[in-house]
Amino acid sequence: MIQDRDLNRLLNQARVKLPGSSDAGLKAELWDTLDEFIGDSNCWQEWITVNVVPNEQDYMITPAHGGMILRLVAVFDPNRIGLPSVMQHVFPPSAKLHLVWPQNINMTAKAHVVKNIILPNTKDEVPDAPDWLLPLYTLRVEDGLVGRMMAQPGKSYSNDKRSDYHLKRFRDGIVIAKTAAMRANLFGGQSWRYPGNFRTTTQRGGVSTPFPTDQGWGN
Amino acid sequence: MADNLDSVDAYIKDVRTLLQDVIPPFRYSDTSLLVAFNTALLEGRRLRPDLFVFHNHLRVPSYTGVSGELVPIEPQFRLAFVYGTSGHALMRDQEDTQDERSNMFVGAFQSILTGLKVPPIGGGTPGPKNPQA
Repeated sequence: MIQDRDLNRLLNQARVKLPGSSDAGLKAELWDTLDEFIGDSNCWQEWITVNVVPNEQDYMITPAHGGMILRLVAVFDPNRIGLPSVMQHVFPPSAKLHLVWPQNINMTAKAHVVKNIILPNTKDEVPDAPDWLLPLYTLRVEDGLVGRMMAQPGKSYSNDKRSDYHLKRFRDGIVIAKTAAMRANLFGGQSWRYPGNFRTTTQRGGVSTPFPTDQGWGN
Repeated sequence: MADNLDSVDAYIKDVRTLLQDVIPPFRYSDTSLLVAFNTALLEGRRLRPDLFVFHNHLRVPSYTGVSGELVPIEPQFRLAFVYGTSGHALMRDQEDTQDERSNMFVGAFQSILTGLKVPPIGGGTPGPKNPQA
């Protein structure tokens, strides 16, 4: 949950930059801002325990620490071996996990999921987002909040030009958060790339995987 | 009575001051000022729906008595509703036509809600040196 001190600082900065704004309007726009930031950056993740039993391929998983499941990253067995899985049905905040192949033993698997915010808000109408979000990305979220507010028509703080500026910075922030989440906040992680001169195929449009699915062998 | 415009009676008291109607018997009845206040709230809902998003789930509050009942308007917008109420009350005034002053109150009401610069209040009571159309 977002800490009061972080939220107050964010709203105070926004109030200064948006004369004539209401607190209710700021909080309403904050929801959309966080929804876009967290949803597009994949920065809010959770490992969920799945008690796998023989011959059962479908499991309903629910986040234990708030939010709703948005995407499935991977499922691992106790030996950290990946279990081919899909998550075609989402029932916010839960989702149905489908193991492609049935297992023949009891085991405790771990599902790695990406989450996003979900209603209801707190009693103060603040979105239920993780407490580390604002300390890490307060400037990025502020840009998104201010930019979205300035994009509203017919307000004292409406300003298309400044809105563009702030929203570009916001989208940059989403990319930064997305990269950091993908590299698990590891500085310099995965900075090497295969030399372009040796490239023979492109990865655009998706990459085939060695994992078999119920539709085939990943071809 | 609170002076920070957080209740119905505080609004009506300030409106009466602007209308120079503070000594009984009042020129504007409580009922007529409440109608003006409720109408200003409705207009505020049109201009700034965000003011009513959470407090009333988009239902515009309506008041039937001058009491200490709280009005859920954020502090920075309360002056607007004083002006809006005053403007609407003057608009219906039949004793001394003050259309210009009414228009200015309504203009100030709208400017506070939607703009930065609040126009000056003018007009005044019509008289030999202050003819009004």
